[in-house]
Amino acid sequence: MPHFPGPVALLSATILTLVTACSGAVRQPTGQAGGRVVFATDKEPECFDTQVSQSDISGVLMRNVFDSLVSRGQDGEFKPWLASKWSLSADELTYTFTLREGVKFSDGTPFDAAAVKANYDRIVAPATKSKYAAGLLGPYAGTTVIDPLTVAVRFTRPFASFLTAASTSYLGIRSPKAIAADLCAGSPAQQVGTGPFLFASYTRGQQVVLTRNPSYNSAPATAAHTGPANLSELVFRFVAEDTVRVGSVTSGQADIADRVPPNQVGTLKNNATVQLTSSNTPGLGYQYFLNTQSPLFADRRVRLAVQQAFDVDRAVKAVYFGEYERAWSPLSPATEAYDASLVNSFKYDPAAAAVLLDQAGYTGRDAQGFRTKAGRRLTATLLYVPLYTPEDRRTLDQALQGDLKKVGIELKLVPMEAAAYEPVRNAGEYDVIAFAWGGSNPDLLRTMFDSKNFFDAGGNNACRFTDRAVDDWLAAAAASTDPVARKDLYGKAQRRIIDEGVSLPTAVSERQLAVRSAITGLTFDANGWPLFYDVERS
Amino acid sequence: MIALILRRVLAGVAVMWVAATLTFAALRGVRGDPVAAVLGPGALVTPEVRAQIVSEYGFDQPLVVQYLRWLSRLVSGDLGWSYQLGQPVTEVLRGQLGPTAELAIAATITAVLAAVVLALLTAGRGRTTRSLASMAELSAVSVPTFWLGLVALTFFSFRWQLFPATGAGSLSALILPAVVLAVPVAGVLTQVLREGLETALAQPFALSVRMRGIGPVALIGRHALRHACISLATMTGWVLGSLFGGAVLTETVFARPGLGRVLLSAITSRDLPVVTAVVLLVAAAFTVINLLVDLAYLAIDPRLRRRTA
Repeated sequence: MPHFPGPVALLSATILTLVTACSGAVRQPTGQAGGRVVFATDKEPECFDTQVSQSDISGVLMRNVFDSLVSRGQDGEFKPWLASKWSLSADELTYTFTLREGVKFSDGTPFDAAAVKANYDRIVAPATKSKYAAGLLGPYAGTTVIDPLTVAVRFTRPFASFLTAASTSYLGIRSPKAIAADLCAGSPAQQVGTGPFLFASYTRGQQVVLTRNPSYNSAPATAAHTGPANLSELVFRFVAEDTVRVGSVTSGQADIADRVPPNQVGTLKNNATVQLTSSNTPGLGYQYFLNTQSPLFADRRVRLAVQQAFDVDRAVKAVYFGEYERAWSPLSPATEAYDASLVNSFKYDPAAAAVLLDQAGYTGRDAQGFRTKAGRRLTATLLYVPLYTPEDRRTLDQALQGDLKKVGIELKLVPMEAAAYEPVRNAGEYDVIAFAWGGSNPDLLRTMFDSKNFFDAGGNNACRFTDRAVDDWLAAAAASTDPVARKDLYGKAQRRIIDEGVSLPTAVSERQLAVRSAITGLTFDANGWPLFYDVERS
Repeated sequence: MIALILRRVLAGVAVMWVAATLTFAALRGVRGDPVAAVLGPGALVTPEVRAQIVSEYGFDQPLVVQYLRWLSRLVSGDLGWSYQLGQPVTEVLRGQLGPTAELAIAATITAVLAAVVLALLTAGRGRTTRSLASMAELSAVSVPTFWLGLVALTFFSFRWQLFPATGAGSLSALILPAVVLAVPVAGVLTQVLREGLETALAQPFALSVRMRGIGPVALIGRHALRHACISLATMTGWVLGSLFGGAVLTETVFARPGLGRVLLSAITSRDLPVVTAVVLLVAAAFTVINLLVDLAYLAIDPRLRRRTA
């Protein structure tokens, strides 16, 4: 940690000595055994209990403290972690795990089958108020301890996503001794796992310090080494401002900057002391959902007109400075079962869009040049919450607005307060809304497009899409453990979603990180999240 | 004087009650599901968890009952649990008041010192000096804090590495944010103080002081400044109070802990218990500061002392 002179010393110092005292102090100490790495990230966890919290940053941070039963590399393959092997019963309802021997939690409690049961049972207990992990366990029926190193996890129906869920840090295993009702606080006594780092301290609004677990012996098979972590200390520093995060790394006050905005990528490429590394974010990238139950977009021709009138290539290139690819599917390419055959499956064609609008009956024009039908202007509303809509997305919205205007569609961008937005959204009183949703499991499509998953039912079917075939494909895919069948079913669903013009994908977003040259070994998991276990400082 | 303090404390309690009630009305009166405020964005919950939250927080009760329960808990000193952070509110705020007070006080002192120096240098001077000073003050007031903070960081931290960009707890980490926060405040205070000085200098007593053979420096330093200080004290009290909850931009740019950031994130997530606690804290700070300002008036102006006695 950079040490800055104390107040007393500085008060008595002249400006000149203050300047010299500080200028040496802001550089990192180097050559220490193991070393320390400062990771500057934009968000701060609201709750450190990943079995309760749904936030990404809690997952990324606590990944260093909690191990999971299985690991999943960027290739999507499952590898051993706290479980050395596992099997699925013939009826596909029970997963039986053989656990690794000799693993201990950092409070000395041995890791065993009872610990797995205590954790999973805690996650689904209503008193835990889990906001995400309980959902990941899906049709969980219970866990049975067969012997100290064998545990069976049962479900009420086949649940093919379970291994994916089990590999995430939301289903990370904490010490049963440290299990209590409320474990959100950033306190070392509450956050006890088997992981490569120990939770040392938390300063709200500033940073979390993790220190190496010297007796770590349960590295995942996806990692590059075994035994304790390479770093002696890992600091997560919470710096919301993009410029400050990047500046901290270029000036050596931090080692890795998370989420470098596309507009700063260009300047960093010319910086010799900093390398850029990126991971593709799986899940649903920022996309427009056209409400199929709105009077306007109930007509497929109007939806397809919007699809062909939007010059996605140009918009994405302008907004992201040419750093991001454009998207073709509701799923991003890093997601399992992404259908690459959708690339170039439709094109920007305002003339074709105009024909479709003519066919739909919008043949008139008003004084402002917008199309009309029976004297009424062709107007669509896009609701958004400014607070949750970053600048880049607002610019995309404006690009869409501009392109639609060219074919005679008026798109109104309507800002709303979060609290007022929710009920309006749940009631489906909009033509278009847009958002992104991360996650490596294509089962996400079910919460987004299944007819049973409207907002008021707890899902995110923003298109209010009711397509029986899509429902059936997604249900069959979720129940299937055959990767080929899953890919085929999810592919069909993606194609139908694009063919129907209900989702309008924009860019393939990447998580860009700026890493100082002395730092090596940064890797990413299946979610595209940074992993620190193999990181070292040279 | 005791009567004054008593009156102020009573008024402070009333202000806190009103502030707390408005907070409740603003966060719970709006359309929207309170369970969603507890869950936050992107949650994936079972109906059982939803039911658990409703019963645990009493969201199934009529709003009036919820208000009365919440108020009685506040009166008994229980600030409750944060919806979003899953911890007692006192735990959340612990460690936030220190950095906030540190920053607010440092910025206020910097601004007052700057204002006194600049006003003394420019009061009663020729037209050119005055219009230059007004221009400088106007730009100081209108420069966006956010931008100024980024510029200060770019040069003083990233390029010349004189100060750390982020953090709190050391003097070197306090200097940049305090100065950035002080700039617009100093602009306002300088204007107020110079106007006060000039008004005092135009009064008949100034002429009689001069006639007693006292020079312009002593006139301003010993007599006029005292007159002008009344309005400065009022403004300073107001500024200091508002910086307690309102330094959020500076806190964000410099990634400093503090009440402003806690309040902002609590408001955006409709975290009622945390918003209430910060609002009460800021109201209490205002009450105390106003009391101190009133006492300062008595020290500055002997005429007021006679009237209150």
